Amino acid sequence: MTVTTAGPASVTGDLLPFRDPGFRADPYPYYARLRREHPVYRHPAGLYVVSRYEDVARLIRNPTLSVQQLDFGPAAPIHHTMLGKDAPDHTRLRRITNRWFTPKAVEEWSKVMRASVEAVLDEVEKGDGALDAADGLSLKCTFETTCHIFGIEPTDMDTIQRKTYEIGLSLGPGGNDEEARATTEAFAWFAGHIRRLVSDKRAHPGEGLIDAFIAAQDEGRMTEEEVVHTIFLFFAVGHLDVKHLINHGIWLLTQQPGLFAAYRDEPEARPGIINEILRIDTPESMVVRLTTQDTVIGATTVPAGEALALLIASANRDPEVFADPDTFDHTRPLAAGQHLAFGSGMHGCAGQVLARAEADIVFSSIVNRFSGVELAGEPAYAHTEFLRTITHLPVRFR
Amino acid sequence: MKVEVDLKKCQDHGQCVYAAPDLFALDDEGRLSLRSQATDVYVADVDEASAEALYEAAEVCPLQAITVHE
Repeated sequence: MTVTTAGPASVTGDLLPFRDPGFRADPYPYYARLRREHPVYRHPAGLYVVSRYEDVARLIRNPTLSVQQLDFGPAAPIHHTMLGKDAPDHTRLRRITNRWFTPKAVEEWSKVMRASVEAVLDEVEKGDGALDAADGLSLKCTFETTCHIFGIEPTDMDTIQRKTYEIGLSLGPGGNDEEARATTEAFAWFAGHIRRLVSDKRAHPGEGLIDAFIAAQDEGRMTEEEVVHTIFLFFAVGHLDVKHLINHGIWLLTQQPGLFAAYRDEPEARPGIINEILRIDTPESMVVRLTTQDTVIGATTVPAGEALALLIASANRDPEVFADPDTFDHTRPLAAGQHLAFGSGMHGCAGQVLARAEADIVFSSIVNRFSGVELAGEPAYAHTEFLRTITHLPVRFR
Repeated sequence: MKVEVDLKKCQDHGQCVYAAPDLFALDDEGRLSLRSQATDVYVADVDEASAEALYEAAEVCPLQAITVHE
């Protein structure tokens, strides 16, 4: 019997083994093969994986693709946030928060971030220069900044980090029952914690973002479920991806003394350095969308009702757009293309001005105060299939 | 007054469309529709009546690609 092979469904084996530790540690060779051989790959889990820059950049803006109709499984409460809604609900929720993350607003939040970073580095300087930068700097300072924006005290940081990670486990395509249970429990914990925060705020009003959400609810612009889960979302994104950006940047500073000097001596190069950190190790490797009509991607027509995984981390390493893509080069020309680490289009990251500012504050404070930084132990990782994660980053400043 | 949009900075987040739907739109591909009229920088006159919406659009643009000239 002759088997006719045509299109991505005919690939045998799993070219994107989401559960494989080797894949999680270094997914880039897998991405490279997909881009070369199967730019639209029908994964055994059922979704279509898109890996080339040109396709990802086009589809990530495609207004016919839906997030609202996606099945998030145990992470279904995300549908109460802008991440899980299409227009017009997405538009309504985003307009409520947009003004809190404008460059002008970010100037205010930057003061909080800077004070937090300087306080950590003061202690480091008094001691022997050693620090676990992952929890002691990246997490601590971004979390304190998020809480300030909310208008609350920075409590329960470690629990919030852990519960967020447990929800993240179910956002990739490869989750199991145990992870699903952890995700459900984590959402329940967040709902309880956040309802307490909101009722405290009702009793003692302030001028933070939670107060703005309460006002929006009272004016009928948000539901209670949207308030609770939007607060969850901001707790999560307030540290999750930006923490990786900062950790990865500090790690690069330990590996490349020239980068340390460039960051210190060439302020005009700093935005390019931050962009290159985001490009070469994109914190969130994919976004998922649902087709609502026949969607043509290169030689493949994906029918309506199919999930698309848009591999932004692969797009950011596409040699068609980024020459010598596996090499860190912050001087590469912008004209070729912008990285997609913050997404693009209407679901593009609303907090990217803040994320860039927070990363710059950390790196600037380090290079202005110290003459170098080195690893003081092996970093530890907890990469998932969609989220790059450094859990421990022992460093010593000198 | 005039609006200037740096299309090299713009990443089609569409926040300007929400803020000023009379001035900005996304096309069928989800890209800023005025890209069909310019490649690098788009400049156009804007009626004073739209000033408030235009300022909001400039303020909320995540890439800060919109400049307002009085």
